[in-house]
Amino acid sequence: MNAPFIWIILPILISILLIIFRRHRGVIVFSGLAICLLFAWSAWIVSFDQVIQLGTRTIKIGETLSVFGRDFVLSESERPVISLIYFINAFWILGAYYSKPTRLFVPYSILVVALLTAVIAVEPFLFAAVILELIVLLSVPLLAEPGQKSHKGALRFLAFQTLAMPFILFTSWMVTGVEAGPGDLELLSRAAALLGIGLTFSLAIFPFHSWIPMLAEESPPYLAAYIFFVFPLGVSLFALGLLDRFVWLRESGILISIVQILGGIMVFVGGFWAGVERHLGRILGFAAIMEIGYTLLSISLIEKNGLLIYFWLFIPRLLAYVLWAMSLSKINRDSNNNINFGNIRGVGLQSPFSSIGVLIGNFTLAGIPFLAAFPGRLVIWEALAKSSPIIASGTIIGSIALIVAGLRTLSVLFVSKPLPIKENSLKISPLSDSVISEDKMPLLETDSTDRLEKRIFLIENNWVNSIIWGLFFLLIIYVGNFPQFYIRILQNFLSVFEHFGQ
Amino acid sequence: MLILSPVILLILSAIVLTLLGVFRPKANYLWLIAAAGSFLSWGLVWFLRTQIGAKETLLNWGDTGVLDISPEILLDEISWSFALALSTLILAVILTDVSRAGEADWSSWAGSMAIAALGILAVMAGNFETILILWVVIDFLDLITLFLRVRGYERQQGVILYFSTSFLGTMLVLWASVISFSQNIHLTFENIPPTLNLFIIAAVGLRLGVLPLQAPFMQDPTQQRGLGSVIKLVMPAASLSILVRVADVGIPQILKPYLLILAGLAALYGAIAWARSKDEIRGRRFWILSLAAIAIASAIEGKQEAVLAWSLILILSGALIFLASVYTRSRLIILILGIIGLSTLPFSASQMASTLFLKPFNLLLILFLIAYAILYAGFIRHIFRKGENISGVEPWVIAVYPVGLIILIITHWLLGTIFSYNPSNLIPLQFLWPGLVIISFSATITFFVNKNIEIPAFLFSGLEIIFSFDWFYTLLGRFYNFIGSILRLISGMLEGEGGILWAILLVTLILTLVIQLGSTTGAI
Repeated sequence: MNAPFIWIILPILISILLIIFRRHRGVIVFSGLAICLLFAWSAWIVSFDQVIQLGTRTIKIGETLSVFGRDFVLSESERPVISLIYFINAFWILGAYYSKPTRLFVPYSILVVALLTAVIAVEPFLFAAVILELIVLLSVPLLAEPGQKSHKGALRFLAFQTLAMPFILFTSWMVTGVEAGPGDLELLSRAAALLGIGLTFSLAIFPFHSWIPMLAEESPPYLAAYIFFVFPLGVSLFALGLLDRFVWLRESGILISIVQILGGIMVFVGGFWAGVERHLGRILGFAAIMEIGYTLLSISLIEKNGLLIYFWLFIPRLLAYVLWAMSLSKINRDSNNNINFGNIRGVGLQSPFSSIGVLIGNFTLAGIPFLAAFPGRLVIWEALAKSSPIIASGTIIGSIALIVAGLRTLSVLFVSKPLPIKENSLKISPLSDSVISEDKMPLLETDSTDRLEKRIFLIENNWVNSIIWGLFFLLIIYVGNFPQFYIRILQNFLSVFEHFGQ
Repeated sequence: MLILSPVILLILSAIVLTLLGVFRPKANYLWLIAAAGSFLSWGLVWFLRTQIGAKETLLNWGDTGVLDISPEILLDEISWSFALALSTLILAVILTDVSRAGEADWSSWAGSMAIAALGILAVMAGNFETILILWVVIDFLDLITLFLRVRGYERQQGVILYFSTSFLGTMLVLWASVISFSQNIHLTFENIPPTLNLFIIAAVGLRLGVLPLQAPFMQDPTQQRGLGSVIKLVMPAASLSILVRVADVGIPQILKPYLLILAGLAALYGAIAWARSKDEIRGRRFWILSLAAIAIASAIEGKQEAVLAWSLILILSGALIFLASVYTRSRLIILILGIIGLSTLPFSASQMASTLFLKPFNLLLILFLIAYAILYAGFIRHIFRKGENISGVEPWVIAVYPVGLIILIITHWLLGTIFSYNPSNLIPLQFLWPGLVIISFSATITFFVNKNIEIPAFLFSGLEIIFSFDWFYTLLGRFYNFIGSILRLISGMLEGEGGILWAILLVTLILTLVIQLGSTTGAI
């Protein structure tokens, strides 16, 4: 028994098994949730490479698994991060109950976390790029409706990620030369440049970000948001691993400065694009670009608690993405998959909880006080202001622009005159949160709008959905106001990077 | 936790009211619970006078090891004055609500108490982080309360715009806080560089609709007297309390005249609109706008006592006229006392407000003198309008109603005289001339108005076009649309068929530029 088998191979097998039961949405969601929590919990408590007493028997969980001559090594220091990855996935699976993405989502997400664990475990480390490409290849079919052609966004995503891989693998070959002769500055700069190009494609850095808004516009919001969350997580862990392993990268001042400038540009540009956008999905996409920017900024501040900030930012990001995406999925369904401003006027009166969810997600990622991202943002802004006030100001302006996007959304969802809705289309189902379906009923008269609003306000969600929505809402407030209660847990994750974590 | 007791009491009362309101909506003791909760809270604030100087950590962020500062609350003379004003406001609202059975119910009392509780917490904010959090909470609560009550496209749009400008003001303070880090300063009430104070004053100006003048956005979304007044007065109080704290820092000298002119225009516009408005509720937003502009001018001039005094006029005298809707025998006496209190003469409730016009006297301050005189004349005009008749009610209603108004006057008088904030130890008799000028000017205006000598309406329409700043926001909107179309064009190019090639071209151009700049400067 070894750790890579338990946290990589076993989840892959389970995900294949879950595909068989995919027709039973409730069963698959809650079993997927339980499985992820179990893997997270076991990674948190079980020590690797030590003898564990289980009743009368003893077992030892080894650290290494060899596959085709390559090793997958999960060491003791990586346990907290494995736990974190599975824990994060549990939240995504929980949100899937509300948002109802494709039935393959749960098995797919378990497969993805298993592969993300493999990204951390694979030796030589640069082979992680191949595993990341595998995640991309698995994602593309999922992003298209069954029987339909792939969207342009999905193909652009595939193209950019595939373009990234040869650059990263080529760096792997060059790195061997660098390690043999660390004084060879020309080789060093070439390796760094190639790696930079690879990561630029892979992390959707401006101007190679176009797949994000395209994907956000064309694909189901929940799936798109999941990719926006998981993929940068995998790539950034890979990038941090590189920085941690190669001293010549870690100590390159110019590289850190470039990363910081790029991060600042991503936040600024993403915010501005979101501020002028008229499609709810694309606003989420541009917010995701901003978040990649914040990830880069935290990496650039690695000497100033940057690693802690890096892990810290994932918590509000997770909560905001899930709440935003699951709420948006509901609005998307009710609006016949058209979430342009012109088509969703007044939807907030029909789906108040989902609309509020979209707004809270938006405002959280903008970093406004009282919501989840604020304390983390405050730390990053403080550290940034000390090193580069211009970049710090640029990020604040980007956040203000995202707030403008939120305010425009608020105005469209709640203020605009509601579209005529059909009374008989209201259904109350204990296991479905759908309220409004189409056809067969006469249009409502204006004077009954108030009465209808009240009814919808009560029945929009069934109780499970209400609990899920309420849980995310409360967590966003909690994370935003009580960082002192969870920040110590985050300290455990730092040990995954041998040099930064010291 | 003692200094939090009035807040806790108000919140608990609001929760109890909500629970009883939902489960026993027809219970006839709901008003009593609201009155008892607000009265006890008011009493506790008076008691807190003995605790001046107390400080309490609200959320212990220091334990994170990475955040240097924690949200905390502070009870000093400034925060106590505001807390007393707000607790008096909520008590007065609940007491006078007995005469407004049509608009008052448990939900409006619970909402008012919750908003007032947060307002008290906000005025006691001990640092900028705390005020940022509380501003956002108050804004959200205002938004929800208003949205649940307001109907109609135009009014709902007004709510959003009102919320938007407040939000942007909040972000401006955050920006100032971040810039302070770059100067290795942590922005606190005791440590504010004048350049950053400009951000704070601008943020407060933005939240209050003064800098720049936001008349088009300031539609009063609700015409309710009770809840409407609480919503409209608590938010300015939360912003003005910060203004008092930053007032003694001042701003860079070179910017003073421009900001004073902008604030002066807002004050004049608000005062004229207030005096001309059909009634005090329709003019409520202009009362707030004009007095907030005068308070901001006091902060620009660095006169801390004056900022507090103008803020108290805004809250307490404002509450007096907004709540005094019902005709009773005592109403006239109460309102005459209110008029005297507003005169800014020595020993009146507003005596410290005239310190704005003391030495060093800036000629631009004449704008504010005129504005206040017009406001004063408008106050008198609205007060002498015939009130609603109250008949067929129980005798206790007639007895309780004036108590709500008297409490406002007494508290204002005490805060303006015995408990006035006067760190410079100014002597009241020095304040004589501004009061006399204001009264004379107001009397002249009233005389002309009574003689039916009015400024032609078309002149006001012309001024409205300029001073409402509608043209400015139209231009701003067009600029926003222009930027939006450029950004959408770039996005369209990058996402089109040739997107990958465009991206590579863009990177090449950027790299060429960077290398060129680097070789010119010698960096590369």
